[in-house]
Amino acid sequence: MTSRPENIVVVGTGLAGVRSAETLRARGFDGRLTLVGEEIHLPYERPALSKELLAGKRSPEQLILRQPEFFREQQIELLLGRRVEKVSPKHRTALLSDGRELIWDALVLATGARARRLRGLETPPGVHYLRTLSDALSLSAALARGKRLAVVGAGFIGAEVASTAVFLGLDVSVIEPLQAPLERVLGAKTGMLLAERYRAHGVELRLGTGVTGFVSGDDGRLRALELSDGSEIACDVAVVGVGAEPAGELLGGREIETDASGRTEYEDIYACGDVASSWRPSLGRRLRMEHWTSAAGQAAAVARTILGEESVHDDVPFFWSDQFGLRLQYVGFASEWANTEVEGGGDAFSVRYFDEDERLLAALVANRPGEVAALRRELAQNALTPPTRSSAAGPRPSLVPA
Amino acid sequence: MYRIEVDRQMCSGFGSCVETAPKVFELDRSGVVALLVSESGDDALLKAARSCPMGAIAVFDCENGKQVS
Repeated sequence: MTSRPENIVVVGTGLAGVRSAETLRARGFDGRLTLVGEEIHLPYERPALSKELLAGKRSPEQLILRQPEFFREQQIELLLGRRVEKVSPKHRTALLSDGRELIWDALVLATGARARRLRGLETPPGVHYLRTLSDALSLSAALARGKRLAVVGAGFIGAEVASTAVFLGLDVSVIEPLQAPLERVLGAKTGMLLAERYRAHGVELRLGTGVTGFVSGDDGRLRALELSDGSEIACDVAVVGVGAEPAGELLGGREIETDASGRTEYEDIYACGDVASSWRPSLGRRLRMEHWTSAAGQAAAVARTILGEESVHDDVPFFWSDQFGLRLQYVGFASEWANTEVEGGGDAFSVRYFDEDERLLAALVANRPGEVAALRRELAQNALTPPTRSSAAGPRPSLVPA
Repeated sequence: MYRIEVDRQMCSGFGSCVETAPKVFELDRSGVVALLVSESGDDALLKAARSCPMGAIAVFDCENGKQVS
């Protein structure tokens, strides 16, 4: 496509979808714009689900990203509660679950991710996953009635739900097959710091232990978890937080590979947000991230690129988590590291992750928000190539002929 | 002149606004955005508002009250 598009369809009503659509309008796109998604709710802030919403500190209405008037004023046709069943790159169409067919000359896939399911285990009523607002509302109702919560998986979702449930007065157990919470992301040392914190808040932490089954009572409802060490943990509510899987099936796979501007292997099809594994010039590799800031940045880059203002997203990765009185903020990216430095402890600490050349790769700060900006600057300077504003969108997935 | 509103509940402490327009924004002791002034003519603040990953900053034109960012 050489001319500006006239018909853009954005699939997915999470942050990435909404931000793409609104950036397209903000940058002057005046053609037809359709935002379509499976969820029935108006687009909302997903990070708050496991935090303020579950804690009862904010209502679902307070999580809404944009009100209906916004979409009307911006002339964005919002199609909620409809799945896109099929996309044809050749005919440039998208088939919706209600039978309608949309045509596009640019398509943005922001289909996000789904909660990974435990396979091979029967889950009686009382076992929850948490990904969508509907999930959160049903979990919230269960926590209001429940007394004992078991959390499967000490990842970020698990930790935030556990923390909120403690705040709500439930007895909480967390079961994790690794030796420390968040070990894979933050390392064993930091994980141990967090483990202490969870225990200090009364959480029963079962590390190095897996779940082998859910036990239901005479009423058919969840009564206990069966663990790999042969023991049982009594509970009336369980939450499974074992990660998320990208929802990239519209292009035939799981994640969708893109260049740094969000171009996929198909002409005029773009992807952003949790589903996209996008090229990161500063890291010299593709990476799929499930961060709010990545979704926002990629969506804006995609929108601009579609309109001919070549734009890449390569900001220093950032995410945060609120748990057990700690605001954790993580900047940078480190899947492996040679060395860590921990400073402080208890209520306020920071951890820095270095490679073998003593180069800072990433950092985690807990209740030390003042350090984030300087860390971010240092990380940006450390990048392989100067981040952003380079015209190089990096290697694009090789094009599939139409 | 612009009038600025920040959503402190939305703020995640990323700090890009402070970097872009340090005369307008700061992070308070809890790491949440705070305004140093409620109105400003500093054009950097438009860029700062757009740079916020959370979309927690709204900027209005004082003359007509319209939201400009």
